[in-house]
Amino acid sequence: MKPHTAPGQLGQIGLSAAVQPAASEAAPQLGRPAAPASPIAPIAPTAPTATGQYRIGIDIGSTVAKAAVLDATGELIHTLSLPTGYSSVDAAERLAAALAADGFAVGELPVLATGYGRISVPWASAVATEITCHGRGAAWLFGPDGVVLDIGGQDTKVICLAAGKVRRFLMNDKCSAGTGRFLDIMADRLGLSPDGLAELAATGRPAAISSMCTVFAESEVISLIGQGTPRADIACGLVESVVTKVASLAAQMPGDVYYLTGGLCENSYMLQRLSVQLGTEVQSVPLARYAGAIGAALLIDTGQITDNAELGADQLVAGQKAHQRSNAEKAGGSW
Amino acid sequence: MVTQTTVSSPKAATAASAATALPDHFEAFADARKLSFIKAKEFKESGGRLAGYLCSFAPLEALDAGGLAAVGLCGTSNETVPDAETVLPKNLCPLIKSTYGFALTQKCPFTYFSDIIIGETTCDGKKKMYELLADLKPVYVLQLPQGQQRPYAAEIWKKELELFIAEIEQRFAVQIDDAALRQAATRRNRLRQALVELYALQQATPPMMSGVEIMTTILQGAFSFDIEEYTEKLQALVAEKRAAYAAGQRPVAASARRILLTGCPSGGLVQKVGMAIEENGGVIVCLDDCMGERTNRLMVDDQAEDICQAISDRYLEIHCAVMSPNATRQDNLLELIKRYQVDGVIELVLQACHPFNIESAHISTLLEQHDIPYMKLETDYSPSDSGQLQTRIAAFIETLAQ
Ligand code: SF4
Ligand code: SF4
Repeated sequence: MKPHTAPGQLGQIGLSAAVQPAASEAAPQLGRPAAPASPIAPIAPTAPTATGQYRIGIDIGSTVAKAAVLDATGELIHTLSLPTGYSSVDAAERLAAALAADGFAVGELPVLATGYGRISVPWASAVATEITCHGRGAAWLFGPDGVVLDIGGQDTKVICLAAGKVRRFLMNDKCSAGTGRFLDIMADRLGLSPDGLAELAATGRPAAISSMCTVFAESEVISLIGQGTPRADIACGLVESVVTKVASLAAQMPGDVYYLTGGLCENSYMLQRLSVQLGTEVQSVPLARYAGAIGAALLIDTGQITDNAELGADQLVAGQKAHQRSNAEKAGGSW
Repeated sequence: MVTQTTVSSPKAATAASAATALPDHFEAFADARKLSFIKAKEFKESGGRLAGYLCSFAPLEALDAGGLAAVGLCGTSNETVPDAETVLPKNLCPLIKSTYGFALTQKCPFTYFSDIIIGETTCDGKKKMYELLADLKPVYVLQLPQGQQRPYAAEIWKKELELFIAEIEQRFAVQIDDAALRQAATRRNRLRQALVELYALQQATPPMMSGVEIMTTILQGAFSFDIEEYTEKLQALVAEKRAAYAAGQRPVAASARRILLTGCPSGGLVQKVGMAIEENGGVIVCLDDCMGERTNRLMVDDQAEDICQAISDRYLEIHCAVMSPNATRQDNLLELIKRYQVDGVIELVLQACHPFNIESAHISTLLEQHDIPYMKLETDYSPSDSGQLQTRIAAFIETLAQ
């Protein structure tokens, strides 16, 4: 048995909140809206020349399929996302085409796939679960210790990181309460985009939505609309319902600092409410939606890259600079 | 005076007297099931008697000595759960529902042909289910003490064993003497020893066998009428695996993470959990449950002067979560982790099993203290969460590999 934490290492790594940009000041040019499936030219300084130089992480989620490309030094040079659509096989094909258009020929580069659609990526050289990848990606984005909250389209995960490694994790039950899907459906019902729902929620007072079940909650929303409850209050109640569910899962894994990954990472109202409910700061950065894909790319063993747990603060800062050069695009949905 | 807990209803009497007729829906069954029905029917027609048991606490020596063949009837499939739920609550352990469902639907040949079903007052779910089961089959329930610590616990349990023996003698018109009990204990010990040797194959690195194969072997064994034959089969299997290993065969990859399963009986989760572990880079090296080390390593002192006491003592020692307190389970678990060089522990909790679910808090704290990776899975026999379980199991094994 090997111990799964090496407490002695923590001090040496020396990462602290100080090197982590707060959500507001992170990479200002990130998160530009773009047409969901359009191939995007990478801002990579040079076009890829030699194969084997790059490695690609693919994260096929239930709503959005994401890709992250790292170069030989471990810098993030490209990200890309598109809606998963009805079929993860189809999403994988579209991702391959988009990556090829950007100059990354997936057939020739090492690719690791994760997400629920990971088995649908025939050109992936390896697969890993979203737990490991999100943990790895979050450690790279935020630092080696803390608790990661990943609110995905279909499930919610809480991952406890120690020394850059996954120490423990929890997943919600087989139910869509407290997931991105829940907010998607409710936003749709209110005639809003998922982002619009969060914006509006910030201005409302929470209407009571007692049901955790998506189907029942939807009928509650319909009757609230019928009663003339302001949309902002309903939106606020819906966010509160997700926050409560996520916080109750997170409470089982207490931590000093929480990091939010997944499509809600730029949702400042959600971050604020989660922080209040958990009684401690919940941080995020726009790139956190790519945490799974970044982690997947990091897991590819090229033999050239230092293990993430050993990354020093300098390297992390270099990594953050690289993010600012990268072009993280937003997909149509929020997660 | 202890009240006898035998419950027999008119319906049960009919079932018992229709001893060798096949069930109404026999023709609709798949071939393998038909064969089992025929096998059980022939066994009965040749004068054999079947006793079904549902728990490790059932003192099998009494059945053996009374000339009954003991078959394990624990429900391990989701197949009959919907039928069971027409009578039992939904929010109940799947093992209990499945077991009851098989009796209700007459789909299990061994339940169907059982002349008697033995239960114990273990968890609430089981003991209340037995009351309902008694409407379908002849049932006898032994009253198990709630813990081992009271000075009179061993005495009570021995008394229960004596009452049980008297019941068998009377019901089946047989004589059970000490010599027969002693002989039964020796035979059972041999079988237990053979099982222990089977488990021990996994102490090798890499292990000598897939854990799923071990689980399937043991599950099939629950239906063998002849324990001598079963013992020999196990011994042959162990010898074969050892020889293959000595000849250089390595059925399990050296990189496979070594998993110990603890918690509720795992018989109904071989596919959903067992296979998911072994398909995702793990190997089950130790079963700390009812079909594994937890119970089968306990032997009866067959040389003891008071053989009845020796038998009842052996069963009382089982550290199942239905016992309170149940601290020996923890010591035993740590010892198994060492002996089998375990990388990670997965605790299986069957949905709505309060004893193991609550006790898991002790186990998780204990393993945390010893820095042993631990994950609890709460599930039932339905396939609805298999995708999520796959991911969780794969992720757990990944954390062991990092
Ligand atoms: S877990 Fe306990 S109650 Fe259940 S079958 Fe095993 S010994 Fe009996
Ligand atoms: S698994 Fe738990 S609830 Fe089910 S029969 Fe055994 S002790 Fe009872």
